[in-house]
Amino acid sequence: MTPALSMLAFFALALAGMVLVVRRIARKHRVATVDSHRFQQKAESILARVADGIVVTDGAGIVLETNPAGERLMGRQGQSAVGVPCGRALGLRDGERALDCRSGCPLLAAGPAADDDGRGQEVWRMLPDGRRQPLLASAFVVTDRHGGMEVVHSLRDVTRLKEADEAKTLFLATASHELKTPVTVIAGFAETILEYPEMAPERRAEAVEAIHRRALELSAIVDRLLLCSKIESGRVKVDLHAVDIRALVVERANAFQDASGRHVVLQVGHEALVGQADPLALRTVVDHLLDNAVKYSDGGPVVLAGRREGDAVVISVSDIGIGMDEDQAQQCFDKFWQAESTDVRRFGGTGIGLYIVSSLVDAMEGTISVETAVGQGTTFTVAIPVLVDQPSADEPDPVVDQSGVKDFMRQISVFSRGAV
Amino acid sequence: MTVSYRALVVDDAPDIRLLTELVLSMAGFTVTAASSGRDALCQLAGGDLPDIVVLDVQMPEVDGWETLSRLRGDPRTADLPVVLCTVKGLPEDMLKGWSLGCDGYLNKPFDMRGMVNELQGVLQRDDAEREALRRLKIADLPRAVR
Repeated sequence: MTPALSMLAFFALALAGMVLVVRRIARKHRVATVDSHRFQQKAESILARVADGIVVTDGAGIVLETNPAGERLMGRQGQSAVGVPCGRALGLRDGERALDCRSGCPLLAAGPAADDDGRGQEVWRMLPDGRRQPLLASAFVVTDRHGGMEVVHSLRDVTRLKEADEAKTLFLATASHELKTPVTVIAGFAETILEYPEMAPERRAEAVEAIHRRALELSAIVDRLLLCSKIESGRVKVDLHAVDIRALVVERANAFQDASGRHVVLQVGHEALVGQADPLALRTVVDHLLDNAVKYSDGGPVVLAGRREGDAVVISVSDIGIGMDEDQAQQCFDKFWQAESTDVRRFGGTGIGLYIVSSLVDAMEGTISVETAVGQGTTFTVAIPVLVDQPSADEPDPVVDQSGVKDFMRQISVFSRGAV
Repeated sequence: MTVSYRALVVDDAPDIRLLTELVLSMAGFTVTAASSGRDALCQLAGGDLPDIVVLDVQMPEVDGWETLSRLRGDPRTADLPVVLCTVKGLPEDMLKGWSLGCDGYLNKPFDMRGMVNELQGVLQRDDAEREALRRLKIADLPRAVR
């Protein structure tokens, strides 16, 4: 081979090698480009769906981009927040003071671990309707391609958490008030009996009777609180089986009359009403609804009715008492809700009774509804699924099954022990 | 001769009324009772005034706050000693009570001997001392509620 040919062959080989290398590089680059594109798509998709508002600004606090939740949060009616100073776009406030973004992001200064557990800083912004929207905010720095600084803000709407927290605080205050009155009576009379042994026997009897009544009331309040906590943590289980609801209704009406001295108008026919329920849970439901009706009926009659309606056995408890307005009716099954929350409230209570009732009815796969009007009274209607194989008319009535007494239910047959 | 003070006990809970009446009568007070703020205001509007009023706060229709406020607004009862007796024990409740012009604030549950001592203490103070005590009690409350 001539040197010229050798040179040519060498260059050809070198060129082929370069082409291969370039092709390999190009292939690698294509793969990287595709990966990068996919990653970007994935990131955008996540950001579009995430519930937290994400707002990215440059180092001077000018908004560069946001996700849809961030746009919604800024509420700019379709106008993009891009290019707007972050402080103006978000209008965040800490206490009564607006966050000052002029000398750097204050959230950044606090850092993403501003809170002890690193969740961010509690701030709020004013909504157009004047309400305060509480937010949990944090920020961190990322470096862009050119080495510049960008700040990523994460904003979480914590309105519902705050509301739940406030409801719990109110509940604790209400529950402790409810506990204080019976404790005052029990401790006061006990102290008086010990202090004055010469007390007249009839006075002493009155004192002991009051101690006994208030101790039962206290025990009922504590039982309800425990049951509510069990419902909350999902530890209440019901044991569903055939229950003669007619017999149960009659029995509870009689027991309630004996315990409270109040007449209950009973409306049940002779037909068997066999539903699928947990007898003790259902007793609790009926007892509480009776208790409630008497409490709010201002001495008027209370009607307890049982009947078959389609695929359900329906139990209703009616009074012609103070009733509720539409808002109250909508909220009455909410936990901690009470019709009256001022110092002129006529009725005590912890605000968990109807929550317990509706939770137990739910657990039994039943439904509960309320019909009411202010000043005209209230009817609560519970529908329990009928048992598919109803006993025939000539079969003896099934006995109300009380065998499945469980620990939790033992604690909750508390509603007939006096109004709480 | 020991002086028998006259106390009006106002509470909507019959057993708390009974308890307070019992304890105060054992301690030598002459006790009358009212079952609501409205009842108390009616009793105080006619007839002789008692030496002291023991007043619950949470009551139907006319609550203890309003009762106290009306008593202070009427020249006849403006200086009548009133001890609030309530389950409401938050600093903002106490601020409300002292600002409305109560002379003592008992937080339920309280011990019975403590209640008698409180009432006797109030009855021994003159008007200037009672006013000074109100200012002191308000000043003692956490700054955040004042």
